[in-house]
Formats: sequence, C-alpha cells, structure tokens
Amino acid sequence: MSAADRDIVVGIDLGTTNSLVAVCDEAGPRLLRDNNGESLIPSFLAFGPDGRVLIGQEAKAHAVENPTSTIFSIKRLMGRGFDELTATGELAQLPYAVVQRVAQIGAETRDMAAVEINGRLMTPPELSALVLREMRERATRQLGREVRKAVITVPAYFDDAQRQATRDAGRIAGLEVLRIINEPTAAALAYGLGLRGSAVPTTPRTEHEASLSLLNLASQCPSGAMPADQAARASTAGESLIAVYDLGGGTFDVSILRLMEGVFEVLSTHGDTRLGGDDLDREIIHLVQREVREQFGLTIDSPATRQALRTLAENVKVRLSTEPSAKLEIDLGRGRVYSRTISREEFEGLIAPWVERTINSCRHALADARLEVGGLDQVVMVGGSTRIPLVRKRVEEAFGRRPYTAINPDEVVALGAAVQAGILGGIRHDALLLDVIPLSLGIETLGGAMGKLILRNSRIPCQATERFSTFVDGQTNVRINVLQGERELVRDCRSLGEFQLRGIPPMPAGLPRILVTFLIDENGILNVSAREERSGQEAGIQIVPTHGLTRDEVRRMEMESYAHAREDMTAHRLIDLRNQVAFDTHKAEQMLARAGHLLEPTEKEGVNSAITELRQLAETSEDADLLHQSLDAFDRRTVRLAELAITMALKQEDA
Amino acid sequence: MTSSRPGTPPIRCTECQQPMDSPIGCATCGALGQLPAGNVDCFTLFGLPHRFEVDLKALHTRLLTLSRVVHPDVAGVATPEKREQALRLSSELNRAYETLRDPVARAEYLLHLAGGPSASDDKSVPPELLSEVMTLREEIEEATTGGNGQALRSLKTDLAARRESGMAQLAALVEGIETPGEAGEQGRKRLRVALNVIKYWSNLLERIPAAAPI
Repeated sequence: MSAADRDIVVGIDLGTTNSLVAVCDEAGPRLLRDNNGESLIPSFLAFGPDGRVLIGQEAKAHAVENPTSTIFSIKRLMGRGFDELTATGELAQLPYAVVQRVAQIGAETRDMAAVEINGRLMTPPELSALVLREMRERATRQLGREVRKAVITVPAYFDDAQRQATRDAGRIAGLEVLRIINEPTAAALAYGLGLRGSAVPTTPRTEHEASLSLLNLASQCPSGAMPADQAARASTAGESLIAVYDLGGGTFDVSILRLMEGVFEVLSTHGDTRLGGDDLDREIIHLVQREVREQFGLTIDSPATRQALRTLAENVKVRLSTEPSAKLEIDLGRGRVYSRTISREEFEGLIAPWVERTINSCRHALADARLEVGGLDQVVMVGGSTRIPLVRKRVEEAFGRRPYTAINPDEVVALGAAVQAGILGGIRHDALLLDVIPLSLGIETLGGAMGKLILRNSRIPCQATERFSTFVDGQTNVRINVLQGERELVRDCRSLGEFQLRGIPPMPAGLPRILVTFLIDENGILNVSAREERSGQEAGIQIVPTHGLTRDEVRRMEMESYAHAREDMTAHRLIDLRNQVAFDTHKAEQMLARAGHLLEPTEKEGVNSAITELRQLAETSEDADLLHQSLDAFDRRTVRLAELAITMALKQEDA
Repeated sequence: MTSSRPGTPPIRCTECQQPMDSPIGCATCGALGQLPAGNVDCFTLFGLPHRFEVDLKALHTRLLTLSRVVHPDVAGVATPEKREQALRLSSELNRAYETLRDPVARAEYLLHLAGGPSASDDKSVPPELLSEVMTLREEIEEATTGGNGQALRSLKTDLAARRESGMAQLAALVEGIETPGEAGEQGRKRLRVALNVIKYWSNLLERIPAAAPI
C-alpha cells in the first residue's frame, strides 16, 4: 500500500482546558495548527440561542458574557455519575447547569451526568464529540484529505467508564478510534524519540520540531537540563528509567517507564483524575471571594462573575510562574475597588496541599515500580501546570532528579499520540508501547466485598477467568457487578456496570459452571465473555454501564451528529450567502450611483427593485439553495451595470 | 540450562518453517501461533524448562521479543480476527510473564504442576507465626497512627529481611516436590508452609504506607 492510499490516522490530545491534533509521517510527528500558527484549541463550547455552536477560542472569549451556555471542563464529567459529582462538590464549581440523566434499561437504572443547554440535554460524550469534530475538520483542512481515524489520549488514571466515554465521543464525532492511549505514555513516546537518531527529522521544520530533537538523552541538552553523568549512564546502559509527571488542567498522572530498544514499557502508574490546574485557580478564586466578602460585604458568585474570576485567577497563576508577585484589581462598582498583591509565597501556601497530593502519588508509583528515590534516569514534565516553580521543586525532591523541562509541556502528548497513530497506520515500526491497567478490576462477592481479579499495574492486554454458578433451581440468569478500585468494600469502589449472563440452560442450583472471561484490551478497556462449560453454550451478556452510554445510544448519537453536521453546514452556508448578498447589493448601489445615469430608466428601476427583493429574501428565507439561485440571478442582472461602471472608471483614469 | 525443553520436539513455524522458541508466535516471520484450549504452560510459552531458577533478564528480553510479535498494535491491525487472536496471545504471554517473574508465584505454579493442594488451600503455617504476626501488625498500626516514620522504616526493613530469607529457601524447597511417594508429599507440604509464611510478611509490608515521608 502506498502512502497515498493509506488512511490517515491523527493523534488527538483531548484535554480538560485545551485540545490538540497532530499527525505523523516519515519525517516525524507534527502539530496541525490554525492559520495563526496556534496549535491549542480551547476545549470550550458556546451555544447560541439560535442553535449555533462556537468551538475553541471564540467560545472561550465569550465565556464571561454567556456563562450558562459556555461549556468547558467536559473531561471532568466524562464517565461519571451525577450523584458522585454532587458528592465531591465538583458541580457547585461549574457555572453551567449539570443535571441527572436517569435512564432505564430493563430493570436497571443508570446515573449519568448531562449538561442542560437552552433546554436541551447533552451528555459529556456528545459535548466532547463537538470538540473532536472541530479537530477532525482542522486536520481534514490542513491535510487536504478526509480524516476518519484517530488515536485519542486519556489520563493514565482514567477508569474503564471514563475510557469508554472517550471512545464513545470519538465515535459520535464520526471517528474510528483505533486506540485510546495514556497521556504520560504518549509523552514518553514523543520524548523517547530522541533516543533513536533515525526517528528525528534531519531538518526540523518548526521550532517545535527542533525541540523534539533536543530530547536525545545522550546528546547536548539545554544548559542545566541534564547533568552529564546522567546522560552518560543512560546511553551506556541502553535502557533508561523515566518518570512522566503530568499535571494538566483537570487531571494528574504519574507513570514510570522503562525505555529499551524502542520498547516503552510502563512499570507503574498512579494519579488523580480530579486534580489539576483548575483546582489551583480555584484557590485564588476562593481567596478573592472571601476577601471581597470581608471588605465590602459583597458575595460575588453569579455565574458571570465566577467565569470572570476564573479568567483572572488563571492569569494570576500564570504570572506567578515567572514573577515574584502579581497585582489584581476588581472594580465592584459604585467606587468600590478590590485591589491586592499576591506573592508567589502566598500562592504556594494555597496550592501546597494539592501539590502534596501529587507527590504522594509519585511515591506510590515508585513503590509499585519497585524503585527507590534516585533510581530514575530522567523525570519529564508534562501539562501546563508543571510551569509552576513549586511543582518543579517538589517533583525534584520527590524523585531526587532535576526535572527535564525543555519540552513544551502543552504539546508533547499530542505529538506522542501522533507517533502511536503512525505505528498503527504502518508508518513507523520502530516503537512498541507496553502499558498497564491503572486500577484493580474485580467483582462483587458475597457480603459486599470487592474480589480482585486483575491487580493494578498489570500489563495489558491481560485476562482473568472466574467460575460462576446458580443459587436457584432452573435459574437462567446471573448478574455480576464489575468493579474497579483498590478498596476492599464494594461501596468504596467504582461500579463499571452490571453484567447479566443470560440463556444459562436450566439446571439444578449450583450445577451450571459458567466460565466468565474478563479481558482488558490494549486500550485498558474491559471486554467480557462467558461460556457455560457443561453445555458448551456461549452465554449472552448484556452490559448496563453504570455511568455510560449503551452501544445503541452511541450509534443513535452518531447518526444525530451527522444530521446536525448537515444542519450546521446549512447554517454556515446561509451566513456566507447572506454576507455575499450584503456585499453584492452594496456594490450594486455604488455602481448605480456612479454609472446609473447611463442605464435606461426602466433598467435602472429594475436593478433598484432587484436589490430590495434580494435583501428581503436574504432576511426572511432559510432556504440556502433558493438564496444561492437568486444571488446568481441578481449577479446576471447587474452584468451590464458592472460593465458600464468599469468603462466609466477606465475613462476617468484616462482623463 | 537450554532453551528448548528436553524431551519435546522443537516447534516449527507453519509459515516460514523456522524453529520457534515459543508456540505463541514466530519471532522470525511474525506469524501468530495457535494456543491449545485451556491453560497454557507458562514455561512452555517462554521456551523454558520446568525449573525454579529463571534468568530474569533473559525472561524479560524474551517478553519484549515475543511482544513485538503478538501485541495487538503490531499484529492486530489487519483484521478483527487477527486482533482477537493477538489479544488472547498477548494476554497469555503477560500472564505467564507475571507468574514466572515473581519467585512466589513461580514456586506456586510449580507446586500446582506437581499436583495436590495449593498453598492457599492448605493455609498451614508454623504455630508460633500467628502471634508474631499479631504483634507486628499492632506495631505497624501504632507507628502509623502516631506518625512515627522512624519506627515504620525499621519495621519495613525488618519485614523485607524476613521475606527475603523466606524467598532464599524457595529454590531448595522446590527441588523436593516432584519426588515420588511420601517424600514428595512432605516436600510439597514444606513448600506450602514456606509460601504461606512469605505471604504473611508481604501482607504486613503492604500495611506500611507506601507514601511514608521521604
């Protein structure tokens, strides 16, 4: 197969605050940028009252004006239930409305969170699909070819439900998701490219690709990035141990990997899917809200204010990474101005508990990888929040290594996803990822205990089998509650769903022997199959995801999304046509003013009324095809006028 | 130790006819292997004889070589059937690797191959062990609630040493489990006890918080 016939596979980093898309060819991975050279697409959606959706920077720019119809941080809602989001207090922080979407499947009830926008309910996968579709379109435009396949990244610590939700989002966006890959693993893949000289583009095309070639462990590194003894050790051993510390907008992961001869082996992973830059911003927001209340007796907590505060806090946080202090000022109206300076020390005091939680995860990851502090060759920083000096300092202390910060922490995950896309698309053959499952998987046993079948940090793919039987004579169904988590009691673990074994041949109680296989695939996603051993019959399994969509729902949403895509296209086309009408009629008026006296009076009158008619049609009609035809007719009708106007203009020039 | 099992004919790849170290797949041409139904012998998957001593570095190298053949990212892109096969083969490979890598799991596996009850079915331990475990457990809880890092570290060192010395005996104990008759039965019993003791130390070690302050 030649490169031209091969389907393009893109790598997508679907982030809490920003998303990126990249592609890999023989020269290496590169980000797909917009016309301004920007690679980040803010993961923001703005819903207009007319049903129009703005995505990315435009949506983010209007977040303060439209707080309840601007949706962001969707990633935090993926694969989660309304009840748990309420219990953790996460919902209270969002300016838009999140409601419970209770769905009934047979006797089972599911609890899914959904967002209510202008009276319409949308599930997190549907919302993420809109962001994904935008990236798909960017890729299609940039590459000049339809993009249908993708590798999408998720936090390593995402559980099965969150992974499924991400895959569903891809499907709804019309993408075949070839692989779900863990973000720190993707980062390591991009980072580790530098280890193999051949994989680095010989002539970097952009500064970002140039930064990739700096990743070579054994080569010259930016001053202070890596001590020489480390580089020497890594290059002679042919094997290096690296930790990837990934603190993003909403999630935190740490993974420990062994890189050896092109194989990227994850030894352990730990994290927190509810900890990120958002939480650090919120510390500043709370500080400001408290002080405003104390000084002015005002409660500033309306959705619009909250959104404005969010922007302000993010700004302060970013400034404090490079400056010792930052000034903030809020005009509260009627001459009241809240103003204060926040020092870096004070900010560090506020965020220290969050940072310590990540450090705790690092210790767990080290212990699970059976490594001591100082046993690593490299520590790589990923995610925008790793620009914070306190984070860098604590990570250095925890791992006994100076973190490597020469890579753009926002872009490396997407580049890694593109490399994996290249591997699956047959472009690269030199690298292989061996990943692990982040959380133990088990089933509910008698007495509400969690019976672990697959332990956390097991290599994937992996599988476990378990025998089940019946309690009642003639019983033909068995229910299995599948769990994920490390705690011993069912109520402390996440329920992934109820698996119903059906069609068990009727036999006396305890006689059927149903062998259930739980297989975790290379995406970290669970697949279950079952067989009754005595009859050899495959048992049917119905899965009711506790916090997710069923296959039928995903299929339906995908269809709807196609329909909406057409509607959106029509809407786009109408807007373009209306703009064209405004432009053409205005031009015609100018020409009439200049050359109208050269026309027959009836013809002049005809053009005048055509202008009025076309404007009227553009204002009232929703029929894009009709408008298009009328615009064409109008242009034909004004051809003579245009010719006269041009002749006039030429004459004037001559004179 | 040789890599092919004595007494078994060398396996050949059905595609390229080259000898294969493992029935799981052909490292020469990349063809996927077929596994017999049921549980596949862990040692056979790695082309190793049934022995307790395993060269861990060589085991790991072979894992990587075979992963390059059977991992779904490499093997499974062509058709859904191939992906299914690759998924099954690589999950078997990973299971076998985890069994062989860990000395306790490896010894248990050899015990299972030799027949008779497993260590966890038997549950027998030296009578004095239980009270010792109780005492240690209390010490850990006390140090944890009291935030005594010093005590936790020393308990950790102590338990790790106990576990290590237990592990050091495993090789010798495994030697005796295949002997016919009463001697073999006694040998398997001794191994079961030793494995249970190690498990107690491991469980206690897990009770010590991994995230003790650095």
